[in-house]
Amino acid sequence: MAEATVMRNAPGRECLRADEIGPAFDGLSQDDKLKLYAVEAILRRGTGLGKGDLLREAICRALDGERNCPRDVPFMAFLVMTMKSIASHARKKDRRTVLRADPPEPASMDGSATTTVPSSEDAMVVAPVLAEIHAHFEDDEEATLVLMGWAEELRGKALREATGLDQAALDYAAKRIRTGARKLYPDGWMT
Amino acid sequence: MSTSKKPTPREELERIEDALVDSILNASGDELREELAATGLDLDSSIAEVEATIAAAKAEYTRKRLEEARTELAAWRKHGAKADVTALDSARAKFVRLHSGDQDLKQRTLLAARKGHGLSDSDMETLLEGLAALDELESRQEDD
Repeated sequence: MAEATVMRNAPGRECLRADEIGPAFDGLSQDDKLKLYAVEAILRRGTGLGKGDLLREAICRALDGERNCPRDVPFMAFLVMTMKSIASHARKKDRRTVLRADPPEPASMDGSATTTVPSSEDAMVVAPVLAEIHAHFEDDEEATLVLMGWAEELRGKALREATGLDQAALDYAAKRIRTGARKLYPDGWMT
Repeated sequence: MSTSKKPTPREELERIEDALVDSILNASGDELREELAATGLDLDSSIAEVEATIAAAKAEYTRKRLEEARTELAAWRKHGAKADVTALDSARAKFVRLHSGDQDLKQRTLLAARKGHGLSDSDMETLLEGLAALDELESRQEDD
């Protein structure tokens, strides 16, 4: 799901009108609401936002027209993309605060900035979390393969080919990862 | 599995999160209910939390719009314009129209009625004033 498809004003695309946004929320099913609950628990990581705040902010931006929902995008996908965008900005803001205290990142030989050198926050906070996740699934070869594929942004056919798993096996592995993640972080994804 | 450039830990975690989110969106409702219930989550309570968040955001948005309208109207009246009595009637009709399809409001109103109370006169007056302000502003914009 590409974040770039959510544009503040979605130029050139027909979007839902302001008076259609409220009814769109009324049209969400119970399952949709449960999905929003589960998704927010993941996206809130590292944002400093409290439970429900990310969703509320996304709803407010949809209502006041700061984010427009193109007609060809399902409303749920639009809401999730908006939450992703807000979370991403919140994390960057939070990171800038942390990085002010960090030494500058080393530059490459030609003087250009390197992009693959992990920051100290990566090393101290993110890397241990990743290690914990991988350790949790170390006895589950299929889940480990799927995690590796996800880390390379593989989905669908590309993921099936890279892992050698069929779609049913992939879906089942994804289910084990979701369940395992909730066991690791019962109060929400790494909150 | 090969990769052209090893992602940083942050990139890797964010990609895993993206994939997890996608897998939640693609999961069937029954599947997700089963998984969440297995972790001890109260599903009804979680759904109620989301519904409360949506209702709160809608209320916040309405309050902000009314405040903005009131502020703009006050500025407009400073220039000698008077509020129109028909604006209040129009606002009343608008209130009925706006909320005729509002299931949340219906539920809250029913709940309030069961508890023996509804919107206070003051609440209603404030709401109608705000809506009158909105109508006046809309009319003014059409005239401009």
